[in-house]
Amino acid sequence: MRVDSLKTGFLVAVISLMLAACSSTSTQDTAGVSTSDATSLPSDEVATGTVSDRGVSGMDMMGSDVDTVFYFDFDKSILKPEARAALSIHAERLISYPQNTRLEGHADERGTREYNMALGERRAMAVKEYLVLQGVNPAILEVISYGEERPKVVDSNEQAWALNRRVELK
Amino acid sequence: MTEQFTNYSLAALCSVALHTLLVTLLVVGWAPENKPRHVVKPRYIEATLLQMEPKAKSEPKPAVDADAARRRAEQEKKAALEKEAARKREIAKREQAKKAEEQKRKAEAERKEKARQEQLKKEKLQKELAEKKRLEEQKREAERRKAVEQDLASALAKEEDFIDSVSDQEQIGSYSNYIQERIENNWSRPPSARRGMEVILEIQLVPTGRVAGVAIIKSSGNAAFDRAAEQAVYKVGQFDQLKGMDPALFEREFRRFRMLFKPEDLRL
Amino acid sequence: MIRHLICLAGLMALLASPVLRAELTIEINRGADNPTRVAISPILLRSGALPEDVSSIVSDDLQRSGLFEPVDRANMLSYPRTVNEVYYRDWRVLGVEYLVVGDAVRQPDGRIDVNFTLLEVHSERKVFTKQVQGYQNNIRDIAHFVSDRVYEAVTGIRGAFSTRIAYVTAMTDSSQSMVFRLMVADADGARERMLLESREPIMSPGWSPDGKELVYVSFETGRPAIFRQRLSDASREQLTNFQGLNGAPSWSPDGRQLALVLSKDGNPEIYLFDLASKQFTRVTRNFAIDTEPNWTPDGKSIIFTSDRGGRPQVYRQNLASGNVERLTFRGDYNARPRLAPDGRTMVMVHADNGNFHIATQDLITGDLRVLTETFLDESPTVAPNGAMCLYATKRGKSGLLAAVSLDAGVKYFLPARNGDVREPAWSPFL
Repeated sequence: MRVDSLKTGFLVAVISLMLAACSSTSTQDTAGVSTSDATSLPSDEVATGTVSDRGVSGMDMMGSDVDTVFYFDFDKSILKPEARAALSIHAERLISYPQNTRLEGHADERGTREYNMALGERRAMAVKEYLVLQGVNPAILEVISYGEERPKVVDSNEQAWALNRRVELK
Repeated sequence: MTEQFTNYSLAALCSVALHTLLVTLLVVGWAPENKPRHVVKPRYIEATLLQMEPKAKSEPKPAVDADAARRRAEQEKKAALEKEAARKREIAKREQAKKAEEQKRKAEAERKEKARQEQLKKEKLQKELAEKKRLEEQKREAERRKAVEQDLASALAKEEDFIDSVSDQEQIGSYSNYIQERIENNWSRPPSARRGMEVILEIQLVPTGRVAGVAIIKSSGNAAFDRAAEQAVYKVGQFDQLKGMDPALFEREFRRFRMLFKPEDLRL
Repeated sequence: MIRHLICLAGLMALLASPVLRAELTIEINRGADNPTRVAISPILLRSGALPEDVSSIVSDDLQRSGLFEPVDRANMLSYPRTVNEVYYRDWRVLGVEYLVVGDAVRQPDGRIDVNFTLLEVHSERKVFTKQVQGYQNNIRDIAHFVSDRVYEAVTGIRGAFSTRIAYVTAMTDSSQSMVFRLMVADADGARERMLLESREPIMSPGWSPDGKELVYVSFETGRPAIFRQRLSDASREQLTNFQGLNGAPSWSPDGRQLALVLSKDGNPEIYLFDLASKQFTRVTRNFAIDTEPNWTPDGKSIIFTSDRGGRPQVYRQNLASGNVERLTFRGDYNARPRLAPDGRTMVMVHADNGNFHIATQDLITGDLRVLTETFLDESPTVAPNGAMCLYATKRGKSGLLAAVSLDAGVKYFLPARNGDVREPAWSPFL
């Protein structure tokens, strides 16, 4: 049940990301900015980068029926038993069918932003190390931390925080 | 009986005369001791000016707008409470003093009564004694009475002297406390103020308690700190409770005096 | 008779006091520290109108500092423009301690000259007269200049009203995706301008010591990278592009280096990056998280967050000797330290029992003081004059900026905006 809803959420997120990326050429227009020294990024730089990276690997992972999001305790980066089980299955598949995979680490909003960046990375590294230990080629794994910048649930309570302390496989 | 009364009224007259002389001397400013009066941070809260100001009136509130008024009102409330407490303490103290005085008076009366009884006894004896001894007796009696009178007078004088010097110091202390309290409630130290900074001001007052002049005697080296001290004095502007002060004391101590601003409660 | 006695007493006192008596000295050791009552008489052009109300801006500046209590214009009995027009009594009845009068004159070339005078009301003394020049389009700069001078005269501290703040906003747009913006505004939040917009996170803005550039982290390439950007022409340069973290840039006081965080060697470490030679020097060597570096004002040490002791705490490392010293011991979370200009007062995020607040710690005495009581407080940044600290906090689901004086006596929120406002960075003196 939870897995399903998470997957749906993930799908929505990916699709909206793609939509956003496509539409970004129009919305990221400097015309709306009145001051002369304001800059907007060249839209293609952001858009292309995002789509090619995310679209491919993310959609493929969705094909699996195994958890792709793993949760952590506050200020911790220790894998929980259920995460290990799911990751073992991912490891087998990645050994059989190697494909580039992003491990995105996240933190909840408590604590400082740069420390949370480090914490998100540490969580994603924990996942990477586990996969590598199972025999996955480290070259196909990319770790990236978003810290608290991309919360799954925008709210300030224990439930939201628990869902935001996570690593996503994409 | 009547004779005895006349005798004692003479003594009383003497005593009154002595007292009058003493009081006159005091009013004229006969102060034998000239110790330097350095009132060093009197920390106890005491707004004890009741004996000279039976109707200690509340200070007129400066016209300020709501926000400051609220803050100041709070402070004034606190100050008022403290003052009230102090006043109560003072009343208690005064009552105690009164009681003590009464007891003293009573004791003295008893002493006199005893003396009178003795006298009566002696008279009975005297009557029994030969007539020729009477003159001699009378003479001796007069001498004795004189001695007692002298004793009493010197004791009283000593007491008056003591009371006077104590109340003088007490008055300076309480007026200083009052001034200190008013200034502290109005001193806004600039954020550049640091522990160890000192500015000395000379304050000039007129007998109504109004500030007539402020001058920097010794600068702190920080213009903002100096200015804030001056502003505190100007802001108070008027020390109402000084109105009732003994003029001699005012002239001696408060027409011109110094204030040392030396913050001790700052973090840095 | 009584009069005679008084005269006699007075005479005796006069005769006696200079020779025999030490003058009475009353010692004042405490203060009430109430805001100073000040009035800014309207500063207007003799003919025509200014596009902004200078006196109101000055009043607002001074009010916000918490050290002043400006008089409402509606309560003023007169609007003097020059010293000669001042009736001190009018101001004394209002309890005003300091009065500012000023006059604006438009020159033929369009320049606007403002002459202003600070007066002490009680002593009827002039503190100073100054002139500032500007143009129609920077009246706010003129006003902040006036605020700075008044503030400095009364407080003894340089005013920081002419400084700026940088911050990041995040909001969801019509297509429900996040938009991140790097913004710059005046210290009072006015004249907000956008420097950068991205659909990927923007983080950790910091100022160059000359106040002309910003460094920040942007995820625009798909992963975090450090950029520098000039404010005047918006020209920008990507400085780092490593695997892993590229974060927490902090400009050195001499402007030549950045301290920053890279995890290219496996875990987050602090490096120095030389802006001229583009060389990196590793500072920390530790299996723990080392991040959020900030320079001491002398440029000789770095203070930073590390969880090498198990929990995030603040450490200081001398760059020459490499000596490391733990600075924080109270609370189970102390992070993202920033030093006030005195080099002694450290502000940081401090948590005990999961409540995140802004705290100061005196690096000499070790005294720790929690300044805030808002919710999820973070990213403290100190004004260049060391008087105020700006930080980010949460109200409901969105973030906003708040300010607190370093003595915790003054607290206010900056006007709320749409979306999330976060990571304020106070500029140096400009």
